[in-house]
Parts: sequence; structure tokens; C-alpha cells
Amino acid sequence: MAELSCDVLVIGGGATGVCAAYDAARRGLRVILAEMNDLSTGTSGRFHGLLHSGARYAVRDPESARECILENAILRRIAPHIIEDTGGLFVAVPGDPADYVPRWLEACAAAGIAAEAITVREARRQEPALSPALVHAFRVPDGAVDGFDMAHAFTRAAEDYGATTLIYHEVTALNVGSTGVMATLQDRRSGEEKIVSARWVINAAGPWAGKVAALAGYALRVAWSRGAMIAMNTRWVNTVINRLRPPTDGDILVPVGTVSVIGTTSIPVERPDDNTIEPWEITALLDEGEAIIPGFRQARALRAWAGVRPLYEAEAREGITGRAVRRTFDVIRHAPGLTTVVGGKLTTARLMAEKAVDDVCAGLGIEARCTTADEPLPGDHPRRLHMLGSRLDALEHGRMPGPLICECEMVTQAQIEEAIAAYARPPALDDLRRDLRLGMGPCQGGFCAVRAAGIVQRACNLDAAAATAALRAFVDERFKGGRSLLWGHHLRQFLLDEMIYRRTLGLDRLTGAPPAVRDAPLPAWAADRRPVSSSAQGRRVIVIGAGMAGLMAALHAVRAGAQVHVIAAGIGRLILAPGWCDVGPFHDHPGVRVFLDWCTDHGVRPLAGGPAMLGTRPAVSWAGDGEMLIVGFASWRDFYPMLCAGNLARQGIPARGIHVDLPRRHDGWDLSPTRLAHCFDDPAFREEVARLVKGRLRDEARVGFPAVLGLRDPAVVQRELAEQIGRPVFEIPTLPPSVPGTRLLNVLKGWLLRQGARVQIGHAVTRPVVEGRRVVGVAVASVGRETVFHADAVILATGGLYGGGLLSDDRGRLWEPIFDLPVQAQTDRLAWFNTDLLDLRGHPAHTFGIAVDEYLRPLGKDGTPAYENLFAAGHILGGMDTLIGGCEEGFDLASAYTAVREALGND
Amino acid sequence: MTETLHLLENTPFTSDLCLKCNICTAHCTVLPYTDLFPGPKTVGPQAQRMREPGAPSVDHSVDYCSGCGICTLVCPHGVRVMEINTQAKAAIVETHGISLRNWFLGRNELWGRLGSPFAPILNFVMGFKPARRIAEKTLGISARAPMPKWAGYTFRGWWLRRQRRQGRRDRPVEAYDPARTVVYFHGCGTNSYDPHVGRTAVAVLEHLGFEVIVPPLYCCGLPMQSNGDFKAARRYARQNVTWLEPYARRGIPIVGTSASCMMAFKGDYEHILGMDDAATKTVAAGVWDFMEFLRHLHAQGRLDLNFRSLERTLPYHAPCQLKAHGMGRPAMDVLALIPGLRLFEIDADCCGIAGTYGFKAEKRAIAEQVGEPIVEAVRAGGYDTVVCDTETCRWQIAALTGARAIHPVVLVAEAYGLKMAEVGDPIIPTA
Repeated sequence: MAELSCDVLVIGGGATGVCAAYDAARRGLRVILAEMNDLSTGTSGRFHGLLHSGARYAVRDPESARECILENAILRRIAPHIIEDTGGLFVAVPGDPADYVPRWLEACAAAGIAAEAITVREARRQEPALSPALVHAFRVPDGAVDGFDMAHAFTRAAEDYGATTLIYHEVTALNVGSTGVMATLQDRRSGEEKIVSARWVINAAGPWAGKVAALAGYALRVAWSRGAMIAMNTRWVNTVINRLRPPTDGDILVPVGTVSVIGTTSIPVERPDDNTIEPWEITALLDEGEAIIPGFRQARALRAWAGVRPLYEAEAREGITGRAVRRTFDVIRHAPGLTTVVGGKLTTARLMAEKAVDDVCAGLGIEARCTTADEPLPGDHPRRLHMLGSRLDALEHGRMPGPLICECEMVTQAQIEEAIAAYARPPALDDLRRDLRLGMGPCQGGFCAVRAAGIVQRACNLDAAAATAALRAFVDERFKGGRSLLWGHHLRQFLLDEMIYRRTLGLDRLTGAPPAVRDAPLPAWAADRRPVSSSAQGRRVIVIGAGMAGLMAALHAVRAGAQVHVIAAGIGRLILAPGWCDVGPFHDHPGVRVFLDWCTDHGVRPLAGGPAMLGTRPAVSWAGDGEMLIVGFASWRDFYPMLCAGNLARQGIPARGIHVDLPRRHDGWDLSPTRLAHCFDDPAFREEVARLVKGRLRDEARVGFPAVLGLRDPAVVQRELAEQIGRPVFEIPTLPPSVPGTRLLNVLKGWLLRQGARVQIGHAVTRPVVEGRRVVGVAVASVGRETVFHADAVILATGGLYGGGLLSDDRGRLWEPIFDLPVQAQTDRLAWFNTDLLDLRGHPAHTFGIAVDEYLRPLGKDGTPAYENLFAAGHILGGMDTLIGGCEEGFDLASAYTAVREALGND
Repeated sequence: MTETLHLLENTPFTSDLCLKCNICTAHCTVLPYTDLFPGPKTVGPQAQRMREPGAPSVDHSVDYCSGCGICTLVCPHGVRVMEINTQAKAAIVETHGISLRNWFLGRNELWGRLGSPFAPILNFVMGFKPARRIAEKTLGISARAPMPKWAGYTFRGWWLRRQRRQGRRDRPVEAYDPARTVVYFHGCGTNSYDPHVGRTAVAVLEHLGFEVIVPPLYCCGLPMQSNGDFKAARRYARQNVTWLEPYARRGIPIVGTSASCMMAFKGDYEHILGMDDAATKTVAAGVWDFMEFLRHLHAQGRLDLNFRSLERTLPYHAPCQLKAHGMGRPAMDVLALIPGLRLFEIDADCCGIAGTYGFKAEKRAIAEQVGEPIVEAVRAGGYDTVVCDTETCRWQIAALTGARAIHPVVLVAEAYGLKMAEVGDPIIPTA
């Protein structure tokens, strides 16, 4: 057991703790900072991001307001690199109490806070998103501060002065006696214990301050107030916007880096780690946002979280609770050797630390005054700007910065490797997230999580099981912050991420025990196996949607002789899918058979069996006949051969992973799978790859590559590679865009055009043109006007919640936008998804869709077919969880075939 | 409240809708052929989140975006990717200025008009390889760029002379019958290089019983816009809107034979240049692509269907700027009415010229690779003629394939039996 000694043990690595460590170290004290998690994971990691001017507290809590404005100026001076000088606005809208304004102005003046009146026009010129109905606007010196940056900055500064930081170390015993303090710390990652002897303890544990004091045998009543915040996906404002009214919920919108954060609420809770969010809080915050920015609730909400404020209960005992409690802080000396500092705000953390360390010095009889306000933090502090401008210059001059891993937040492989090296033990992906903002952008880790796991595996030499578990933990953590925001485009985002994790990666089956397999029952319409008519000459068919179902419906209709027009708002999900043809219970349906035959005839066979990107054994058992060599490309970010091979091996399939260099040194920032696949179409390129692989081959029986082996001529590419290497080769799916999906789409679209079909992508069908119970045409939102196209039959293949065939909003409304067909779904939005994104039972949302009769005609509100000649195919249909049922492609293929048969057969 | 809701529909804020799915990346016409362009998602909605006012964070690799707009079309989630990219180019120009070459290429109209009287000499020089190599080295205009030939006269010159000869003059807008009048927008390409397309269009419109008006007009501004010179583009755009708005308000259709120019009016002025005033919207709702207009007449029963038979099978290229209209394939719909004539659409997203992109020396090789599918289709079928609605595409296709490239209106005129004796030169030169 390690024994350490110091002068001051600071417990708590939040804002106050790191400032106290820095302050004490500067005064010449030997400091150890102990934090039970990663730095800034308590209140300081879950706050609003606001550097207060103090104006919010001017009326009700003038002391706090004065503290804020003074500390605001000091922090800007000593740590400008952690602060964004956004400035602030206080704005009032109609209905806000008019009598508050003069009181507020007076109070700001008294506290020394500059509040400058500006016109509403000027405010809206500065911030065009603000409501035209604004009544007042005043400028104040607010700013935005990144809590993680702050923690790192002060910790490094403290370490410069000799302090030691111990993260993931929890204090399990604390003895404050006449001869000093003895503390037992437990490393939560290894279980190891350390004994620390100190002369004094500063308890800066925030919500856990009471627990820490109790360890030493002292009572400290801390009350907890939980507040929710939502980060909106876009930086809607560049200035902090405050509501000019007595402080209440949802008053503040803060631009923080690439997002804007609206908050907050205030709810008394029973635990220091209560981070739940109730649906009414989300609604309330969006409502408040809407009041100052009309249209706000249509904007995309990226992440919701809650933080717990510690409130010193001296006041609570007097019956004052929640927002009425003073927001200044308290320093309490329980006994010689133990001082607690609690309350306050992040803006005043430095001052809180100063007072706490003053108490410690007084107690130790040391004459050392606080100097933290005197000069900037020592050390080099490059601003973590998102620097894009010079990239082309770098590329054109051959200066490749290496792969870009988190594209949303501009985090490179080099940065990740550097961050990993700073940890004594392999970091969790969440640790890297706090360091670098990895996974904090719109896709919430969908693409970068697996890349980061692959990098950590290599850098720390982890086994595949550990790396995969780390990936799973990160995915679960990301979902926690998104789960309360699953509507609209953010719902689409998580459905895309889910598809990547489950299908492309195979993550759910590697990290969870699969439930007993039960073949999903075939839907009623799938029982009828009659063929599509072949004499539909002259019949005009419009297919709405260009996913697998829509394009295959077009194919069947063309082969039947119909005149076909595909109209779609965009391209469907087949271009993102891994490239298998998962058929499940539809395996013997004619829709599947016709598809597979057509694919063979046109050289675009689906990927046949084989592992998923993480090496997950596919549903179709791949009888091993010897070891596999899994090949990846050094510095290509979309495939990790060691991870794949390692997971294959632990599932009993012998495999070995290697990296080869890409010919022509393709190590730019963003090498897309389609660009790489195009390179493979060049014989010289693939010959070089074959040579490199052959040189590393041992006695493996076959060689697996990421699925980038050719875009135009995959059959030729793979045949030649196999010949040159001397082994069969196969493809393993990689992150979207899917090259196999792109191949299929290109060939299918080309075939449709050559057969005389029309394919029109990019503009949505807005409404049907109806005569009685027949759809006679559809209207398209062309640019400048509407265009009407006529048809004898219409096939609706617009997709489900991901594809936009079904829309959703924050109130839990679900609707089908073109025909207004009734949607079968749950009304309680929180019931749409289970708690765990990768729950092996799937989610109720997977089964939402429209109801149809046995001829695939959508039913109207009265339960009968809405129109005689409208048919539906693909994921617009509800009832079946095709993702869990392993029939994503099968469902589309079978329903497309059936819909066309019915559309052309009758009448 | 509509004012601020409009903000959420503004082009840069459509980046809020991006799911990072990479469908746009997979369809980018340029990306497969260069390492210098990371893809439309990267320089578009992804970089957009980093573009703070006053911060130098615009990604310069957006220079390699051709502006073809396929990315916006394929995006299923509503992101206006190409438009975001074009605005990013403008932000670069605003900070760093515009290169002489790009300024030059944006001033299409100016060179067209200035060069017209010197057509024979200029055409000779443009065809003279050493001169082209010098132009490539000094100006950065590719020696292989499909420079059009000056026609030796301008469409406007011809029109004005014809008006004088026939004793016509323009009347006040109110004096025209909207049901029997059409404003013809020629554009600078037709004006200086392809005036016979304009003359053919006029002949067809008059055959259909319309009185044609050709008001004062500028270049639509697209070449400036696509090179990021928004200040100039807006100047041209506003003047055009001022001239055209009275006709649009009166309900007189404004018809153009350049699908790219008409797309500028219909959509780019608002979604790229940010012109959201009432006059621009009125004009946007009142402009038509030429073949779209004929299809519309047909839907109303007003199209003369007395076509001669043309026994031909011809390949058709739908320009990316025509696809952007979202109106389908009006040329194919109308030409399908001509007996014996069969058109098929070439499977190609973009011919590669992308306005001024394919003229640039450092982009020429990319442009040629992008257009390769058209070359293959024409060669495979042994075709000598390709039908296409925009002029720069026709120049590119002719240069790459050696085939003749014609506007669909030429076939309509031939099927109506209109003799070029009425309009001048033979419509379809004999093989």
C-alpha cells in the first residue's frame, strides 16, 4: 500500500477543488488533489457553461452579484484561453414584468455591473435569431467557459507548482486528529489503496461534501437542487441571452463552442448523483427558448443532461429553498485540519478557493497570501480552436496531418494518441471525450466511437474484449444524454447510429447475451407468392422513395412493362447498409429470389456471410476452413483489423489482423470509402496492395479486407486480388457510406434509366392528386412552383422514422406527411425506446408504421383502404422489427414485389 | 413570427439537419478523382458548425467543390449542402479576395459582348494551341477547356435589328395579353456563342402564337456566384429582378433556354445569394425552363401537336442544374410527343464542366473524369448527336465526345418543319 504525504489534501476535482489545489500550491504548500471520478464530472461538468456577469443576481442577491462581476474580470485576466468572450444580453418579451427593469438597472449599478441599454433593432442585428417582439435589451459582460478546459488548465498549473492529481481515487476513510489528518484513498480502477497523511484537508466535494465531512465524523447538511439543460445542435446565438425577469426556469441560452445550451430548472432531490431528466423539463426549456427565439422548438436538440447544485443547508433550515437560497458560498472550519468550502458558482470558484486556503493557512499559522489573481496561469495554453482554413494548403503541399477521427468536433488521431499517453492506465472513451470533445457533435459517436476504440486498443495494447467493452460503455453513455430528445432529426440520428452499431459493427451481440431466437412471424401479405404480371404495358406507375423498397418496386414494375417514374426527396438507406442481404423469414419469397438473380446477372452480389466490422459472427454460420488474415490500411480510419481479428478469435474463429500501407501514401484527413474503392479500380494500385499482403501472408486460408474492393468493377478487382495473393478474398463491412450499397445503387439506377424509367431525386412529393377513391397523380415541390405527375398506380416507399416516411415532434406526435395516413404507434414518446440503445429486444419504435390490408393498400382512418390504387412497401409499413428479426433487406424486397404485383394485377 | 421562422429555413442553418450519414459524400461527382476534396459533408454542414462570425475557420478545400449540386439532391434529410458550400466560397472571397482567373471566368457576359465583333480572330486564337498553353500558364484556364466559338453576332443584336425591320417596339407591360405573351431570357451564353438557340426558341414560340418580348437583361450572375463573387452576382441579380418583376407580376411567363440561368432565378437568388425580398420571389415563381413551359402548354391543351416524324434515337443528358429544378425531365416528356423520336437519358450525374469549374487548369483532369460516363455512352452507341439543355454542358459534351450537342428546342423546331430560312442558319447541320 502506497503511503503519501502532503500539507493539504484537496478532496474534489471540480472547479473549486482545482482552484484550491492551484492556490495552495502557489503558496508553497505540498498539495494532493483527490477526485473520485475524472476531473469535472460532478456539478462542474454538468453546468451551463456561463461566466456570469452577476446581473442575474443583482436584485435578489447583491452580494453574489458583486462577487461574480469581480471574479468575471479576474478569470478573464488569468485564464483567457478557457473563456469565450461572447458578451451577454438581457432581453424582455411581452408579458415579462415591466417593473423589474428599473429595479434591475439600479441593482446592477450598485453591484458595479455595466448594463448598457441598446435598441431592439440593434439587438436583432447582433442576434438575428431573437424574436422581433422583444421589448428591452441590455448588454452585460457575460462570457462562456468550458468546464473541462478549466479543470485541465488549473490542474496543470497546480502540477507546475508541484501538486499531485489523483483521479479515480475515492476517499474511503478520513481521520482528523490532533496530530494531523490520515486519509485512505481507493483507486476505483484497480482497487489499490493509498494512505495519505496531510496537515489539512479542504473538502471541496460539492454535492458529496456532506458525505466527506461525515467520514471524518462531522455533520454538514447539504441540500441538493437538480437542474436540466439542453444543448441545441447549432450555435443559434453568439451572445449569452438572459431573460430580463425575476430568475426562474429556462432563463438563459449560452453559446458554448459549436452548440447553444438552454437552461435550467431547479428541483429538490434526494441524492447527490440524481441526473435524471423528466419530460416536462424538456418541454419547459423548449418553451422558454421559443419565447425568445420563435421557431426554437423546431431546431435540433442534441443532448440533455442534469446537474446537481450543492446548497449549504444552514439556509434550508430557515425554510428558504431552491432559487431563493443565497448563491454565495460558505467556508466552514469543522475542526483544525478540516475545512469545507461549499455553495457558490463556477464563476466564483477562484474566490471560494482563496477563502478556503486562507482558512487553512490561518489554521497552520502560515503567512502566505493568495496570488492566484495576480498573474495568468503558467504554462503554454494553445487555444483549442477548430482550425480548418489551412487544410487545403496543407494537403496541396503534402503536409498530411493524419486521419480525422471525430469529424463532428475535429479531433485527429494524433490528438487522441497524445491524450491517451497522458493517462497512467488505459482511459475510458468518456475520459477522452472530456479531454477532446470526442463524440460530442451531432452524430454523438456514431462514427467516431469505434474509431476511437480501435485507436485505444492499439495504443494501449488492449485485448479485443476490453476494447469492445469500452466501446459499448461509451455508446451507452452517449445514449443516456440523447434518450430524452428522441424526436425529429435527432431520432433519425440515433436510428442511424443504432444501425451502425448493430449491423455494421455487430456490437450488440458481442457485448450482450442474445435472447432465445424466435423466428418472427411472417406478415399476412407475405404468404401470397403469386408472380408479378408481365403484361402491364402502358400502365403508369409512380414510386415514391428511392430506398431498397422503392428502387426494387421500380425494377419489378419495369420488368412487367409498366412506365415507371421514381420520385424521391433523397437517396435511401441502402447506401448506408453494410451490404449483406438479410432475409430472415423471407428467405424463400420471390421478391428475394428475383433480387438475388438480378444481382448475379449484373455483377453486384451482396456480401456473402462473413464477419461484421468488429468480427461478430454473422447469423449465417461461416464454417471455418483455416485461419483468416484480416487486412486493414495504416492510417485509414474506417477499419480496425486487430479488433476484428481479436473478436473473431475469441469466438473460436482463428484470425490474425495486420496493417499494410496504402500505395501512394493516402494518409490525408478524410479518406472516404468511395474514394478508396475508386483507387482499387486501378490495376496498379491493387497490384501493389496484393504484393504487400502476400509478403505478410503465412498459412491463412483466406484474406478479409474492408469492403472497398472496387467501385465500378468489384468482381474484377476481387478476382485479381485473389489471384495475386493466392488466397480467396472476402469483404467486411465498414462505416458508411457503404461501398457495396453504392455499387448496387449505381447499377440499379443505371439499369432503370436504360429501361426507360425516370428517376427523379431531390424534391419531395407533397400531396396526392385525387379523384374519388383513386390517386391520379402526385404533386412535387419543384423549385419555384409545384409540378404534377400522373399515374395509374402509386407505390409509397418513403421509409419509416429514419427515412422521413414518418415524421415526429417533441410532443410525441407521429404522422405520415403525404397522404396523412394513420400511424400505428405509441403516444408516450418515452415509451418509443427502451433504456439501452442496444437492447437485444429492440425498441417499440422499430415497429411503428402504417397499417395495410393483405394487398398492401394503406388503411385510412376507418380501417378500409384509403385509396384503390395506392400501395405501400418497405419500412413505411409497421408491425415488424426487421432489425432484430434479421430481415432488413428481406422485408423491403418481399413487400416491394408484393406491392407491385397488387398494383399491376388488379384493376 | 414568420421573420424568424425563415431563419431556420436559411441555407446555413439547414446544417442542423445533417446526420453525417455520408450519402452526399458517396454521390459527390468530384471526390473519387482527387485527394484534395474531402467531400461535401465535410466542407459543408460539418464545417458550418465551426464557422463563427469573425473567425477564420472556412475550409479552403471547398474550392474543389464543383457546385454540381448532386449532394443537395441526394440528401434525404433536408440539408442544402451545395448551397452551404457555395456560401463558404463567398466567405473566402470576402476575406481573401478573388483570383484574377476566377474574376475573368465570372465575367462571361463581358467577354462575350466585347469579343463578338472580333469573332474570327478570337476564334482562331482560341483554337491555336500555343495560345491556349500560354493562357493556361498565365491565367490558369486549361488548354483543353471547351472554349466556345463566338458566333460573330449577338442574339440581342439580331433581335433588335429584326424588331426594327418588322417595325415593332416594346410597349408598356400592361399593354400585353399575359395569355399570349412570353418574355424570352437568353442569357450570355446564347447571346454571344449560341444565338441560333435563341432564334430557334423565338421561332417556336411565335409558331405557337405567342408574342415574344426580349427586355433589357444582364447575365444571370451564376458564373460570378459559383466563383464566390457574391457582390457582383447580387448586383446583376437585382438588376435582372428589377427588369423582370413587372412582367412576372403581370403573369407573363419568363422563359429561358438555359436551364442553369433559370435555376438561378428560381432558387439560387434566394437560397444562395440570400435575396428573400418580394420582388425576387415574384420573379422566381414566374420563370420557366423552355421545355418545362412547352410541357405546361401541353397539359393545358395549348401545344401544337402537328409534328413531323423524326426517326431518330438520341442520347439525352440531364444537366445537374436541370435536375436541381425538381421538375422531372420536361425535354424528354415533350420530345416523346414527336413521332419516331426516341430519347434515352444517359446515366451520368454531371458532365464535369459544372459552369466554370471545368475550365480551370487545376480542375480540368477532374472534369474530364467526371464526364467519362457520357463519353462511354456516346461511343458505345455510335451517336453523333447529344441533346442537352444547358450551354456549358453542350460545349463540354461536344469537346469530350466529338458529337454535336443540341438544345431540345432544335428538335421541336425541326418537327414543326420550321425552316431556318425564317431564322437564318440550318437548324441541324447536315452530317
